[in-house]
Amino acid sequence: MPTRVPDIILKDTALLGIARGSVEIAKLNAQVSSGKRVLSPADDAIAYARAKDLRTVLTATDQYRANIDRADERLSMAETSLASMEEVLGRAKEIALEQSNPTYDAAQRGVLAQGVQQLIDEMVALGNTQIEGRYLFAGFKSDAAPFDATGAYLGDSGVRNVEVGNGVQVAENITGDQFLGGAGGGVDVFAVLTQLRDALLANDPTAVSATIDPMDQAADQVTQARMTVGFRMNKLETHRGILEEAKFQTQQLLSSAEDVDLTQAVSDLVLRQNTLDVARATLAQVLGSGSIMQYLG
Amino acid sequence: MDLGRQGIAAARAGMQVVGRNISNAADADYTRQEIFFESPVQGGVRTWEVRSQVDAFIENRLARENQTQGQLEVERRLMGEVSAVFGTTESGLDASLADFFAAVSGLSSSPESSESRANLLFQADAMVGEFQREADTLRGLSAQIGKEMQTTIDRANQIARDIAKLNVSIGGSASNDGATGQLVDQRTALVKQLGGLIDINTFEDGNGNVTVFVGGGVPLVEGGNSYTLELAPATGFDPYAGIQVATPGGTKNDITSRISGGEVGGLMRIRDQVIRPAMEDLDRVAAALVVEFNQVHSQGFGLDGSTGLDFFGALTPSVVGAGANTGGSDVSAVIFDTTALTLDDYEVVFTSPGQFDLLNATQGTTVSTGNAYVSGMTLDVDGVRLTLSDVTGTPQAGDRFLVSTVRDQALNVAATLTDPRQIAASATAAGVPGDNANALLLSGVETTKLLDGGTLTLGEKVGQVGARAGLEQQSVEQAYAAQSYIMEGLQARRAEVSGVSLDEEAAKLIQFQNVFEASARLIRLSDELLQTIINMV
Repeated sequence: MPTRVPDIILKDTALLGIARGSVEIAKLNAQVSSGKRVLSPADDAIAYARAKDLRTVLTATDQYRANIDRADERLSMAETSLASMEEVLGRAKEIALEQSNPTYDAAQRGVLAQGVQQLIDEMVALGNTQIEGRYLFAGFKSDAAPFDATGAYLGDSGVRNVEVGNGVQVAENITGDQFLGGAGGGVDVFAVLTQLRDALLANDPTAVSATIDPMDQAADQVTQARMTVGFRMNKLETHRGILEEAKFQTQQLLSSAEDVDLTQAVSDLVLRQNTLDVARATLAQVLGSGSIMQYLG
Repeated sequence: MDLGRQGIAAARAGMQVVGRNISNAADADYTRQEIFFESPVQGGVRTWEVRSQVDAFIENRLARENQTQGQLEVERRLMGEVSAVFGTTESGLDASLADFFAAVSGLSSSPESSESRANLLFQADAMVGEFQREADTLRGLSAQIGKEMQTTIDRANQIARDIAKLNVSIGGSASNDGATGQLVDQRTALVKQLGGLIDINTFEDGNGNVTVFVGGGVPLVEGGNSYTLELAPATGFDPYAGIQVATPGGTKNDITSRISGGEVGGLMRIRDQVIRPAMEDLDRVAAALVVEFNQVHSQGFGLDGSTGLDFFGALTPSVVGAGANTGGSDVSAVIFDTTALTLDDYEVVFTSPGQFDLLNATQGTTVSTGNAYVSGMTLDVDGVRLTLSDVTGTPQAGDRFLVSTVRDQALNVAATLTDPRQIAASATAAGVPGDNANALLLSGVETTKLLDGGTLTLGEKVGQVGARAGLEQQSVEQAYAAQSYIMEGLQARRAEVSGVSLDEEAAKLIQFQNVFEASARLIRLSDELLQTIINMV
């Protein structure tokens, strides 16, 4: 205990208590109203730096998800096109099977040749499928139709990879030269269809029959391509799941780094407020009581 | 009767001291005075001395701690501003950099989309703006510190002059009356204030003079003389000023390296140990980004078939001559081979007017020594071509030049590519808008460890800069809080000894009043006795 208590000590001590209390209350108020514990590095520099890091991770995660969404749209579109192609080729095969039978006449075959031409046109249109102005099966030459009216391939074999995670890339396109053009050891689907049309025009059941096997092969190629697309969509789905999980965890970490424990903060606030009220009352009492001086007279 | 007269005089003197104490009760620097009396052998009472109630130990500690207090107050205020430069947890350069690279990744996902290209240019502008804003704010803070140093030493000089004046006044007056005590109080308060501004040591000689040394041994106040603190001109490559003491004889003592406390110490510490390293780090990040991103970008192809283009404005090397250079030559530098750049700084040191050494300042190694100097000559080092030439005269031994490809790059960085079609997302020549191979390589720059000897990515380095400032702010805040407690404790202890208690003074007042009344009664009684004797005659 101090041996002497000069008046200046009484005043200073009480005022300091009030000043400290007010600062704490202002801080708690800001925390409660923003929901954040870390408003500046002075609050908790480690948490501040960590929150900044985690935010940049979230930015990247969101971008990867956006990349996946886009790739997914394109692959779905490709999937739809490929399914339609399977149907077209199925109809062409029906015609080939039917017309291998010598009982039909030239007139009937002539009509069906026109039907096959329509199928060829349909296949060209499907091979030129676009999304957002981009030709899906053109490789890198995505600004121009990859197939002309005869089914000749004008695109390239560029495989586009898309970033779906930090350093993780997934191929998001299949090129028309592979599954329709027969590059890499397959059959040229358009050549087979043209062969069928010409055999029908020539009223030649043997030649028609010769297209059945290649037609099967063509259908296989398209089905294979469709499976590849489906496989890639699954892969994207897996990565989407990984990203969702990562995002959730990042947000949890972020929350624990910078969010305020509201119950704690509010009860602290009330406690501080009470303490401050008491300090103010004490100060008034101390300063008001004066000294012996007031009893002289 | 004489006894009574002495008693009245003593009571008057006592009440005067009490009056002074009461009227100064609210002044924190005021030292309570107490009056002491002596009783001579022949009887009666005499005022022996009026003594200020001071605990020298506490006063000394207060003066010392005030030095730290002054330093921490400045550091705390500045660190608040410095760490605000790096933004909240949701903003700042790290956020802009992440947004920029997200846009690069978005471009790789849709290289043919004009939106993704436009977005990349937009994000590049935003990021460049953030680089410049942070670098510029830091530079502004540095400049502000320079101004504050000037006003702070102006205040210190004023205080030093006042202390010298008080030395004269105190030395010339009798040492044991109350008025001198107040002058001593004033001087003690001034010394304390001065300590809050700059590192000082003091001692009091037998004649009542206080001598003030600054920066551990250079006199600032000696008796009635005071010398002047000045900003010292920069002698090295930094434009930043130090502190020197000018004596009337014209000599100037540079005390920069010996100042660590007080407001000046705080200002210099934040400027030199916090702001400058942060600026250098930002410059380094900007330079590494520009070099690497441009390198990858110039290898790719735009939608229009353009290739070999920079995305950001190319680095411009800076050359700074040392402040102490005496020769008339200059050095200029250009980058001629970006692929050979190391982002190290180089130093040209003239050993004689005809010879110079070339050092790698970053690595601390020697590149070449004893190079013969001919005006207009060139010298290549790591992709940088130096041109050395006479401008206003020949070089002199000791002249130094710093060549840096990094310095100020955070301020100078610019997104110069403006045509979205020219963004080189493609790795093959024109006509293949769907090729994203180069965009993927550009995106890879984000995760390439380009800094600190291949240990940190751009984003990690930026995060480190902000985190360092944050930690510094936090530690300054904590030190300040601790220091405040120390100061409060000392002030309370000082007040215990030297503060005025109105209760005490009231009691003394009554006491002196009683002495006065009793002495007066004594005089009256003596008078009555005398009258009685006279009447007897």
